[in-house]
Amino acid sequence: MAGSIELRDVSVTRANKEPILDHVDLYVEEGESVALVGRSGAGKTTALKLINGLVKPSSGRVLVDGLSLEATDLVQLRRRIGTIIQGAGLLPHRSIYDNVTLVPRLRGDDLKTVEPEARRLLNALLLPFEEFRDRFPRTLSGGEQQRVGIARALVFAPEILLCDEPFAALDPIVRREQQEMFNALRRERSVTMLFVTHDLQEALRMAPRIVMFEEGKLIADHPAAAFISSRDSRVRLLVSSAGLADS
Amino acid sequence: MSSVSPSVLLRITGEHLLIVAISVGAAIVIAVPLGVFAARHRRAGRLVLRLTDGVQTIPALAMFGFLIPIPFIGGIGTRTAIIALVLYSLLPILRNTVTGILGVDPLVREAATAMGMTPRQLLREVELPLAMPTIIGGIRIATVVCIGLATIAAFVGGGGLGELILRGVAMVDSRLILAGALPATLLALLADAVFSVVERRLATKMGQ
Repeated sequence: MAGSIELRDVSVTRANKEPILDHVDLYVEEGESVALVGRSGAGKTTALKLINGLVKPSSGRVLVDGLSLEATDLVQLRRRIGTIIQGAGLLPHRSIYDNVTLVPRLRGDDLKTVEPEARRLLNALLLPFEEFRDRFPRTLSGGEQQRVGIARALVFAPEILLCDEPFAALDPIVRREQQEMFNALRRERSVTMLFVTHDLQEALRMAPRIVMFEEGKLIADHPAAAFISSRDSRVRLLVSSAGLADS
Repeated sequence: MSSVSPSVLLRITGEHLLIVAISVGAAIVIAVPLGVFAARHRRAGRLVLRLTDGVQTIPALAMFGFLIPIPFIGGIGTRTAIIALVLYSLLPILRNTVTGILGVDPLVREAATAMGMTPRQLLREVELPLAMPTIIGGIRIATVVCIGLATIAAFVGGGGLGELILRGVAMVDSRLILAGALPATLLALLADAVFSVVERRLATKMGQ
């Protein structure tokens, strides 16, 4: 098993602008789950995109399994990483089955061995396989598309899961259900997970360790309990706005 | 008053269609890859678009006139006509290819890249299929424009329905002019209708 992640003194800057990430250090062990919180624009999504190489660091190093991404074949790396984004980003011209099996097809895996897992995942996500396999994304609701996105990220047993606000667009009840379905499925196997959300409640449901970003800086990195009781005023503001402050 | 026998009319219409098909076909082969390039490299792309834009502003008769004295590509005949028509067909196809590719939902493109598609796979499996209805739209415009413009090819001895029109003009014979003009109009309308159907079907298939 593998999947350790490290950001070593990473900055991401654009010309003449405030840095998007400012000297960030983060180490995530194999199999660990970490939630990245902070307001929009704080840098958490950029931190996530560093790990699959969609964003390049301006300085510092990004390492997966101890290997610097500069020395890594990014295409091959991405085929080991399950990515879930807000709005799913399904291929609109491909069937649900084609969408779910996208990464195995890119890897050249034998689809016969993938199909049972695709079937199991879609069924578990309340998308009955026989009913949904040949349908197209446009005929699905937003919540259903999001679940197809989850199946697509899990079907090839990834070593790392990168989740960027996957449930943000859903109404609260559906969101809660999908969080639970997702948690049940991802816990079947050991996988390293980074989960970006602006919602602290969600962060606590997803991961035992919370990392907070503000204006490009990593300002807090604690186990959940310690995070909630932190004395840092910026953390306290987030905790109290999520209705979690102890009076 | 002279008349044209149906068999002659059919042959000339066929000739006209062939000229258009070759011209649009060649324009597709050139403009689609060029459009892909222009969508990838925005600055160079803008230059390419401006050049083809410029070609479009040259009056058709002048274009044929310019081409005739150029060695190898010019001269009198069908070849000159086809080269001019290719030049006129480039812009709509090129522009629509660029528009189609840039119009692909950035979320879809990002997701496909994050799943581990190479740039080539992204182009073949995502960008080109999703841009296809728009590209077909460009081919439709190019074809309709070409069917009309190809009548002028007769002025450089290019053949086609323009020959009938030219002869009709010379002989002040409106029936002869109509014998050339009507089939050209009908062809243009037909091409427009056929490509519109293909375009819409594809758009539905691509989830648009």
